[in-house]
Amino acid sequence: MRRFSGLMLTTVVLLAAGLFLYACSASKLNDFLMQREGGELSAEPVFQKKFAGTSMSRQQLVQLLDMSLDKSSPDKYGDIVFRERSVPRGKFPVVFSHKTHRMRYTCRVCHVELEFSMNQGDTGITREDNLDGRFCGACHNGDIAFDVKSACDSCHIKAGKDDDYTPKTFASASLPAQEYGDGVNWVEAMRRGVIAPRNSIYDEEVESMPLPSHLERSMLWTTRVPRTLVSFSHVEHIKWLDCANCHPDIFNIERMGTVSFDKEKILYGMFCGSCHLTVAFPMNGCSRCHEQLKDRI
Amino acid sequence: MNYPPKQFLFFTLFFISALSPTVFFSETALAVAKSHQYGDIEMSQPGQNKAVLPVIFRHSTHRDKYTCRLCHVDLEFAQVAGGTGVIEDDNRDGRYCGACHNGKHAFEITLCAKCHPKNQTERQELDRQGKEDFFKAKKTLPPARYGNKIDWIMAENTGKIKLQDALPGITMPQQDMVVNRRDEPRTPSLAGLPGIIFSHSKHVVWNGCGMCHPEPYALEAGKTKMTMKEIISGKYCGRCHGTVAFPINDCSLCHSKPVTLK
Repeated sequence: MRRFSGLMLTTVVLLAAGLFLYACSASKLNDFLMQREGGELSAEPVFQKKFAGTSMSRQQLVQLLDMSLDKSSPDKYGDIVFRERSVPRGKFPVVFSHKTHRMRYTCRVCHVELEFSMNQGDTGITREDNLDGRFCGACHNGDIAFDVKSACDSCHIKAGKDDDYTPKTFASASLPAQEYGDGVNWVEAMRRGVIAPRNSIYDEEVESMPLPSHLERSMLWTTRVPRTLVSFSHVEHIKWLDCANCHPDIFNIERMGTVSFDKEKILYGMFCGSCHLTVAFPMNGCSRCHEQLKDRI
Repeated sequence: MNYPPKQFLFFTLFFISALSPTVFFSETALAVAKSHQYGDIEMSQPGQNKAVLPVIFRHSTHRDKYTCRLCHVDLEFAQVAGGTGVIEDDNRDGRYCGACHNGKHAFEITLCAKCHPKNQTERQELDRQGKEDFFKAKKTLPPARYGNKIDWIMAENTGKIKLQDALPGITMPQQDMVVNRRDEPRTPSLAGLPGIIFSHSKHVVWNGCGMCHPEPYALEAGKTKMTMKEIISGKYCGRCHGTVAFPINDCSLCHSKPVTLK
């Protein structure tokens, strides 16, 4: 009997898989994914994504949520330790602190204009680069920030395999607090005008192209787990990022075209996980995207 | 019999996600390329000689001296890597690369290692040299925000670079035709997007007519319809803008008019 029920379950699950695949096929994609409300601008959600798959059990969901929580120390959240190039050459690794930089500059300044890759070790920074005014050397030239030539030990810090370095002191008292991540609610800080990061290293700041009207509203997405919804705002992201930071490499530009966009893949650092695991607020702040959920601190 | 359905569910979820028709990564990298490598094309080799590595062709060291159409129309270079099928005999006989690389206009093609590195060490040395030369030249040219981070159009306008449009004795100079130099306004399909201006005069300096007409653009105004998705995947404007000319990240260079469709 047990074997029989197992077989039944297999059949049902495979049927569900088949249905899901059918639903995902390109011809069906538009009916399947999108409902868009016309009319004038409003704060109302505009997109609904529909999944045909089954939802997971509560126990599995709790496991998944526990996996997604950041448990690191707030002093070190957002720090990246670069060993790839410096350690083989007999230097201490470079400890880069995102939070001291994002106070002054938006993400796009470094990750688009200065060509820093989002993948660690991909940029291949050399000393010649820095001395010639590229990468770190674009600002760390003695004029804007301390000089790469003299202040070596500001960045090359002794750090063992388990990241046992002393984090930089960072005065966050004036910034709005949050209970997870690096302890600072950066979005709120920018909204209140406590920080005003520059959006370009060039003297004349060119405003980025205005968003098309339908992207000015926040989007509401359904999830595979029908207990919650996701709200996403282009407007909040474009304050920090360039279109090209996300499109089309992380998210393609087809409306609701990123079909495999789900929590499992995000936890592997894809999609939202490209930033919201290591630098942007971590997933402890559930309610920032899933408005119905409580934060897990 | 122990038969945990939970594992089966995980397996099936994995199975579904592996098979589902996803677009994880787009075909062309729109986003962030290193400025000194922007416009570099790796050429596969149609010949039998596997003892050398593929050629990396650098657009950035050629486009400061010659127009696009000189190579892509007159010298018959295809706009797709591997589409031309250049072989050594061609070059030695003065076709393709050999039209200039003959010791008179540029270094001779018998200096093989200048383009064909034998091993990774030679490749790295060529890359290092190329990078050094690029950034040395970049300091003298007007800056831009994306791509090579060089404003090539401004550099040509202000006479910082002089473009040669014909090779005396090898190609014919362009016919003296009446050329359309108008700015063509276009309306984007999405509401709230700034209007588009296509400038014939900026293109015609580099491309003449034959690079774009009649393929991919029909001569009739407004007849060729395109979407941003097609452009990102390398069609229409994306044939050049995204690989060699300024990439389409620089939205406001084309979407430069006030919003027309509200």
